[in-house]
Amino acid sequence: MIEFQHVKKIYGETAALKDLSLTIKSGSIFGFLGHNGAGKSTAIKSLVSIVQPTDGEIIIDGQSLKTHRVEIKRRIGYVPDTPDMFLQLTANEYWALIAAAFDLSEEQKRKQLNQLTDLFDMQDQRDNELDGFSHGMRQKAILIGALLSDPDIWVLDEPLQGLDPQAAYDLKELMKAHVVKGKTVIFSTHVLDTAQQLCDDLAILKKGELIYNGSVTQLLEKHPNESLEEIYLSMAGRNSENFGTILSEKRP
Amino acid sequence: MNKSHIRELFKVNLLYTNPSLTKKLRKKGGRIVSKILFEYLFLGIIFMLLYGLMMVSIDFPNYPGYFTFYIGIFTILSFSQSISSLYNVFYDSNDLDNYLPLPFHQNDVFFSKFLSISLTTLPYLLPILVLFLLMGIKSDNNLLAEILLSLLLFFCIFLLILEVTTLIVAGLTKTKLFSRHKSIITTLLLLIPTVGMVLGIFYLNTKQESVYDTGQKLADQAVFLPLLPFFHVLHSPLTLSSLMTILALLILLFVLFSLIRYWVIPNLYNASVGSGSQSLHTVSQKRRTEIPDEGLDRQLFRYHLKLIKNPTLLTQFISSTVLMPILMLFPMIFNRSFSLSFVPLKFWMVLFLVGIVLANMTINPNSLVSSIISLDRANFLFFRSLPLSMKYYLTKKFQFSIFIQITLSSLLLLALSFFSHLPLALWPFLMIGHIGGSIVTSMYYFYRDYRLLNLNWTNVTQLFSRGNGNFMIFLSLFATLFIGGIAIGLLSLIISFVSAFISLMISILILFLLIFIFFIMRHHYQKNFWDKL
Repeated sequence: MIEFQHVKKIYGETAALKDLSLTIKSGSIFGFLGHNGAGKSTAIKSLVSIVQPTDGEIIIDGQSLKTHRVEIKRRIGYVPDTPDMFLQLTANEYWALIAAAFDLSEEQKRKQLNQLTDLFDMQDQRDNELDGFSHGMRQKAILIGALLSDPDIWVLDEPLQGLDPQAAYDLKELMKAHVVKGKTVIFSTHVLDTAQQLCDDLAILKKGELIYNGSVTQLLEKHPNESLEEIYLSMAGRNSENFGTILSEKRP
Repeated sequence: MNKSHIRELFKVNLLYTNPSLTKKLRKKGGRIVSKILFEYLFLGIIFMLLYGLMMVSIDFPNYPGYFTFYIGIFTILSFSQSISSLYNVFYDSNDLDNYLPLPFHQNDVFFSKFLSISLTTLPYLLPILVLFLLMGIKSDNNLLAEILLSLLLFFCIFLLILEVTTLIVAGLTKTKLFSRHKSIITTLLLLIPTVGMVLGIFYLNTKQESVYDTGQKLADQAVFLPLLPFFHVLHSPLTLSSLMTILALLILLFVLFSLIRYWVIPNLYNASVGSGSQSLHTVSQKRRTEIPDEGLDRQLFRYHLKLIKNPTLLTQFISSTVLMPILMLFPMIFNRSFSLSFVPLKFWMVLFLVGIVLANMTINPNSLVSSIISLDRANFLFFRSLPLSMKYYLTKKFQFSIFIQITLSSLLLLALSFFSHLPLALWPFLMIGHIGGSIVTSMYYFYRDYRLLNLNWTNVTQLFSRGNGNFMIFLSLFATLFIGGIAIGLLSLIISFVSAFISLMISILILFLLIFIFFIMRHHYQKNFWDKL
């Protein structure tokens, strides 16, 4: 179980997260939804230790991230929102670094890599630099790195962006299979269909504030005859009256 | 500390210490890390042998001046190398936050980074070990004790350089001035050691009053006092002053280490974690800035100015442009007897040629004009999609880069003319020759950039090693020096021995020939490049 307890993150004068408190159950797929700048990435980056919260705490299975940082990181596989890291390394060098970080044996690394590179069709790209990869290929390389140690908790920031349909489908299936084993997947997305299709629970953020936290089923039941997109836009979206005004202003 | 973590992190950081070397070795295939290690090992051995042979004949116990002179030179060399490695590994790689989600201990990440910087600095410092050993061997003390002492002192100097470099770089990056003018200060940070290295070696050389006296005996250099304690430690290690020196050195190392451990490293980490805040802050400030209403020419000029704000690019550009003139300038400043005031006006064509040769030497693959198109990256393709003539766009690019290039080199030429006391009447010929030569050379390199266009680079050094790389730079530099030197020498000789009228005729003839070549070249690039756009 992962608990965000009154987490705040302030950048200069801007509050990216305002008192975020929520619980993520083990064995579930949890989605962060929100517009650009809503605080999804900040919440995710706080969980994976890239961002240090200004205030509050994150507790994972009773352990505070502040005091058990390295132990907790060992349980997390993370895919960032932009796969532009370690670009001077080849895919193999990148995976070797990740394998070393998670103390995988040579045998474990080889076995996992064979499976994952086969799955994501990356066998032929192992010795090429990440720098020369397309966005989708980099995303796949980073994804393989994140899944290499078979971590309990997957934290995926916009993981489907740039993936081809086959890889996106495979990843979604992997996510479902992962939670069946009692493990956790946390991801952020802008694609509401994907969220509706995959998530057990959701957090909707708006300008750093949590405006909904609960199950997708409950949310849909509360708003019968509405799609998740319509519900989401009525909660987090622009005022439709303003939209109408903008449109009428643009008309000649 | 986790050894397997450090080993893997060290490998990764080693790839970042010299991006262009990594790129070059990667092209050759094979085990890249072993190859990089071998390169540094090979360099270290070459340096030890080369300088060892140079120093072996000197009886250092009787030449404290030479002893301190060599320590000074190799310290400057190592210092320059460590600044560039430190910047590449800690700042330019910009990868500290990439390690944050991984289960590495922060200390292991930093330790491995320092280890890779140490390795790249070591070859430049190894000659000092040879120096200490030679001093120890020739000092008639216990050999084993001298070897151990040499190793200890060498290790101390090595650590001292790394610690001082770290503190300077960290101190500088912490200032508000740095965050406001990051690219300028980083450029200076990379440039100062390069220029400092050249000036330092020249300075140490000029301190030498006379190398040989009349009795064939080697005259000692002026002693560089701050480094003299090393001489005393190795010469007479058991004196109180020597022991105090060692103790002071160890205390200094400990104090600097503590500063790094408790001040620099936590700040590096915080700076990395807090980097997001700066970008957010900048965005909110930029929103309030009004977009100035100006023409396309002016907007392209501003765009190009922003494009070149890359510290590595600016460092390479400035050092490749100014280094050669500075090498020529320095002896003039320090040697008051040097003067070109005697050069008569009839040598105007010689000066014109000198200007052209200097233009050829200052413009090379590291110049702005040689990578200004590739600097666009994806923007270049975007510009193509705009309703904008590519010919117009590239002309603006060419004009911008040649303007910056000529401004910088012309300033140096003016300084060169001033310090060499060149008669004022000859200055315009030198300048016109230089500007003409710069335009033609720039045409070649601008077209070369277009031919070898690379829009996917991640480190700007990748642009410098395109084509035939550094080997061709040196080859063309020496060819220019050789051919240019012969042409200048020959013309000077002819003009010295013929009458003023004939020399004027010869000069005019050469001028017409050069103007003709200029237009042929212009026509060539117009037909093969500009007209095809």
